[in-house]
Amino acid sequence: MTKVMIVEDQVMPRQLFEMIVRQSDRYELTYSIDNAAMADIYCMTHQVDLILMDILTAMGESGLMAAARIKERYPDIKIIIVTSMPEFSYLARAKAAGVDSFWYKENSQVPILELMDRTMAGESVYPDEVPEVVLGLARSSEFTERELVVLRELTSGDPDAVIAQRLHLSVWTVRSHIKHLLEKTGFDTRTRLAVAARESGLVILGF
Amino acid sequence: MEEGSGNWLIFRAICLAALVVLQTYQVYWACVGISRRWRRPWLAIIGGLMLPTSAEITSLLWSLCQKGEIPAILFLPDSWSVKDMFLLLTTCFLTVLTVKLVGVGKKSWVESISRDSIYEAANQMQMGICFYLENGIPLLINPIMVSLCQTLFGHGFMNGITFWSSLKNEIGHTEENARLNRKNVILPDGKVWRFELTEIFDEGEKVYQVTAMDITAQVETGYELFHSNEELERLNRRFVRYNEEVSEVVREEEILKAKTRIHDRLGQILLKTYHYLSSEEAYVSKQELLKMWENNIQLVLRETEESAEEKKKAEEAMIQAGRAVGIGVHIEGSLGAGGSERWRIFFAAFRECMVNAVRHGHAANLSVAVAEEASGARFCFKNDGILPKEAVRESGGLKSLREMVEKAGGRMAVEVRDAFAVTVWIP
Repeated sequence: MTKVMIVEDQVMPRQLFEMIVRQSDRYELTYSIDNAAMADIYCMTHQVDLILMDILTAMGESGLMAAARIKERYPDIKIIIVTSMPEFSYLARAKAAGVDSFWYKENSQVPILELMDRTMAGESVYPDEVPEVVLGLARSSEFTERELVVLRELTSGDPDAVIAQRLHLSVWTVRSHIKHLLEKTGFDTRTRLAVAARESGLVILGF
Repeated sequence: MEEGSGNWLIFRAICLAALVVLQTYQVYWACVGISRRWRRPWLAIIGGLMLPTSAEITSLLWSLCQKGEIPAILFLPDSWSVKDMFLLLTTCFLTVLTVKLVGVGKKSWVESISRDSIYEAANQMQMGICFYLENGIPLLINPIMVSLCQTLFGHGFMNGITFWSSLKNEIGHTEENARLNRKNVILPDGKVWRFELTEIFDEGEKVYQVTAMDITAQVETGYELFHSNEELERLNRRFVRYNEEVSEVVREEEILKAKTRIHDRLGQILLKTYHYLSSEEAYVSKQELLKMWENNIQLVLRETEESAEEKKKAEEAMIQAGRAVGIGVHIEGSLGAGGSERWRIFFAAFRECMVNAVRHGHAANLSVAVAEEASGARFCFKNDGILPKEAVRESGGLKSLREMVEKAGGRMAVEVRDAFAVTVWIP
């Protein structure tokens, strides 16, 4: 039996995952927790074979960071990231952290149980691309990666100089990216752009 | 040309007249130029005195030529005498010299500024200006400055020192302006004038210059800019606050989506149940239908768990995590508000201390004390496990934790006395 840990802060999805695991004769639910910060503590003393890990978890803890920590300490544990957020960098960051598979709660064609089976069989299953999001007049695919990085920082509300310092860019480069973003999306202010970007889930700061 | 003939006399008279005129012209402009350029009027007087002198020298040279005491020049045309040639050459030389000096003199004349031109320029300026000596005696005042003085103090500009000290007592004197010898004054007509005092030196003598500029437009623009910036600041503060709360908003959206899915599913089950009950041919088995109802009812019933408080849930999560690894977690104090960054650091510290307690200390209990201090929050984690025999060398987790804490502007202390303790202060 494959021992599964669920890290999901919302009760309903967590219950759904719990049900799926319990109803399967191949999996056994070991722990179901809502805070990614605690996940590796459980892995210390108990056997966990597979983790279904949300990204935005309780108390602002990032599931991706937790996954990277767990993979570093316990590389044999398989991890599937489950999220509904279309953040542009999540796929790449998950791959970089060594996450085995990735599942979009809203858009995935593959059922979660099938994905769990394939992952446990040694397959790495990732969606081909991040779900497309419409931001103002533009589609998410129209933005360059650099523009999206600046857009993410823009949601912090920090001044251009601070953003530039954080990204190791010049203030003029940051302003140029913001200008292009405003032109593409048609928003008249950077605040509107930032709010729309954050609410769409295309960029999420801190996770 | 025969010497003593009528033509010769006319020629001689013309040459002499030309010489005198040219010399006069030359000396005059040379003197004017020199006196203007170097501002030495006495040079013009010397030049004036030189005028008859130079005429005398010319006459002397002429008489010497007549007496034949100047040696004759070879290769002269037969019809020209030495005297004729001397006269011609002297005239040419003096003409060239005169033209050159006239140029220099005129240039100096054009470039130099007279007292009158300074006065005229000052009067036409769109700003107030005045100059006065150290004792306050005014040297130059333009009409705008006189008018401003009249408006401000009810009298004309009498003394520079009195004027500036009276101006300093006017309203609106800031420390910065005092440092810069600057003064902004609002006149009864609503216009704002900036007075500025500057010390200048003229030929070693200290002279004070007071300028007055109408800065009403700049002040209005600055006022508008100040309000725009204030509005921008307010919007940015709102946006930062929004950003702090947006994660929660997004999570709530996710919950809503999940609830919608459950309710959609409930709708589907209702339809299936309706078909099951109304039609003879069953699309779904009774067991399957019951299982669907059971699952969905469970989900709806457990929805109430969502109402549990976040902080309480966090404490429970810590206790549960401790229980899972065989450590009793005892929490004192409340984490309180402080944004996700503070919580993130707190959980990182908790996780690290828990790992240390299990791996290195083999502890049974981990006490967590949270206190709110004036400078921020203090978290203290202490385990009752085995104390390290050597001094703690921070690496891996502890090192990362310290970096995280310091990046957030906090500090961290690791103590090993009666127990292994990690204390973190976060502003």
